[in-house]
Amino acid sequence: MRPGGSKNATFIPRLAGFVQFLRLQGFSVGTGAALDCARALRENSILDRGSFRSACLITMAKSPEDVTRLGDAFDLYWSTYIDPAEGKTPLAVSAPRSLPQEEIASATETTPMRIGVDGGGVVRVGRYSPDAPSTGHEVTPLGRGRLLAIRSGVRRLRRQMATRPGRREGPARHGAIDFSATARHSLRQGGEWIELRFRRRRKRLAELVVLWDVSGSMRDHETTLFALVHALQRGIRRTRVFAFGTRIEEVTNLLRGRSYAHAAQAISSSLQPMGGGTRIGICLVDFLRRHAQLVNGRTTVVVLSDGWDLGDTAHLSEALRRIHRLSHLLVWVNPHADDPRFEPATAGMQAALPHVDLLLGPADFESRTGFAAERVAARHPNLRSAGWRKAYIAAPR
Amino acid sequence: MDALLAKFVQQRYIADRSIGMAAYLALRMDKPLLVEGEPGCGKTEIARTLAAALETDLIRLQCYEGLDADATLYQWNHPKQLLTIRIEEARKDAKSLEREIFSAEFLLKRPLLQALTHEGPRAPVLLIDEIDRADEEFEGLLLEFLSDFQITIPEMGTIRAKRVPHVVITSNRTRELSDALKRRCLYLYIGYPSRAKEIEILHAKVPGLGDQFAEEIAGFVQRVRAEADFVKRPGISETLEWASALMALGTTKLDRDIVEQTLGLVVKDAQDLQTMQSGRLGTLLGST
Repeated sequence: MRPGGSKNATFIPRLAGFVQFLRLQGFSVGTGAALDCARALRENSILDRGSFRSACLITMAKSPEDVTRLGDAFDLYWSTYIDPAEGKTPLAVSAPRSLPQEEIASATETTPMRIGVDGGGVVRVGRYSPDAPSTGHEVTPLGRGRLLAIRSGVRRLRRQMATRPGRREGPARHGAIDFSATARHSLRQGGEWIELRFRRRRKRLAELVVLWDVSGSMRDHETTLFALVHALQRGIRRTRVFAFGTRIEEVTNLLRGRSYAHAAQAISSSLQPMGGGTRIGICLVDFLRRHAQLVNGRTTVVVLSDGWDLGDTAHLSEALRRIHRLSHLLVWVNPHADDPRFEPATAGMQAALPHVDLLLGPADFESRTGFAAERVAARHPNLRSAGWRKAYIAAPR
Repeated sequence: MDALLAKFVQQRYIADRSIGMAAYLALRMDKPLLVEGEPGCGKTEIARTLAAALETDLIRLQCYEGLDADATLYQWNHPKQLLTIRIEEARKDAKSLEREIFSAEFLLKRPLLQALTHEGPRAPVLLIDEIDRADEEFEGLLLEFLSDFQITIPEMGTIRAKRVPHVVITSNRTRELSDALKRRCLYLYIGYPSRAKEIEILHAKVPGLGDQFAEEIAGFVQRVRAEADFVKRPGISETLEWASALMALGTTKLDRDIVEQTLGLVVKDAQDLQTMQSGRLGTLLGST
């Protein structure tokens, strides 16, 4: 069966339903990708399940995580599809491959699982309802004043991070002579080199990796830390955000390009509960195993955590040692560090401190004097060199 | 698609069906193919193999930070323009002189323009390698090219592709690419191969390797790859390099001495090497 000719009329709504289903699952599938998928399926028989699945993945997935999740969504949708018009005619596909254990557990909560498109064109999934209360992380809004103060703090951090010159050159009033631009300019003056053009290396954009602890012990600080995470993502273009608790997952796409309110909504509804306890060390080891390529000499790594680690702190120490070695700067933001009586006494903090360059509290971002030398020094930061101390601790204004 | 996969095999590239499907769709739909994956897992090789399979030219653009229009699209040959002005200014009027010095004759074509104006009998394969090394500005530069396969030169107008080149873009995911770029591409992710596939690749790429030896090599590399605390895990290219080196040394069986002497070909990070030498090697070899 090919989705062309007379079959087109029945297949296209099914595909549109699948696209809608993916969007409800949090995938960003544009109309262009949906059209590409339809075009790809014209080249293949949709009765060959493997080809059909591959074509959907190739045209709609945009990252390795997408590939895995989209594959599961494909199996879920096409193995249980119920045609809204015919009511009982499922698509002729083979059995889906088995789902992960936790998905099976949650899938059995509502039986039988049914997926279809209702009269209004809305995809209905048996175990999913947009009206159902979220079991994820509830992020409540932060006051506008504090939000602006945090963003201002992030800008201060960004200015300090982007101080190294990159390799891209741009026009400048002084610097090296740009012979190509000078020659091009001279053509307007009959080929006479009357006016020289110059170029200079531009500042390199900062790169940031945020590792955000969303475990139970951080619940009281979630609103402030979410505001900080959103401000970091918003203010520093090359930012990747990972949430961790008992496992680690990337949440950059839930934040990127979204306003504060929309991002809060996305986090509230999409970020799954992490279970009890925190395993910072194991999560960081897992982060390094899967994403070590993100950390290099240009990267600043910001860990947002209280340091409560129920796992083996040896893992935490080892992971932070590696991150410290690979990265440009390792910053730890502890929500308790704002308290003047704070002492980094938890086992996690004790293991982390030798490898951390800067220890900050969320209030440091809100305060104009937050990065002041005496405040930071009072927390025994392990700055790597005097040069970086100058670069990274802005004088109070 | 089966015909394309057969051509890949002829070129000694062991592709599974998802790779074949992605390459096939990229050809049929005239869409760029974005290939992401671990370093050394055959991303660049896809473009080379595709060019060989289609019997066409491969035009390669290696990305790096600071890559700009001059290095990727075109550049005017300014010295030649200046010389022409000097020689011709007495004989020609300003208008015709200007027309002349901004013509194709004075254009230095860089890889993207070369791909658009390629004169061969078949459309070329354009490899934009390691795009994550380039910065966002370069991605912006690529957008017009990838969506419409055209380049606009202010002095000459818009140059459209005679034949749409087959574009393969690779990335090691050291940074996230822009959504705009991803939207214009088909997507393929290549992970590390299974043990069976790695053995198949070894047989295809390193002729003369015994069955048992290939299994030992693949098994060892798979175990190294499974070490969670290693900074850099070996890709297929490391496996192939190591196997070739072992063949060159006349080795037919893995033993501790030879592995120790050639470990640098598989483990390419100082800390990982140290970990291996301080006892892990024995454990990994012990489970052979």
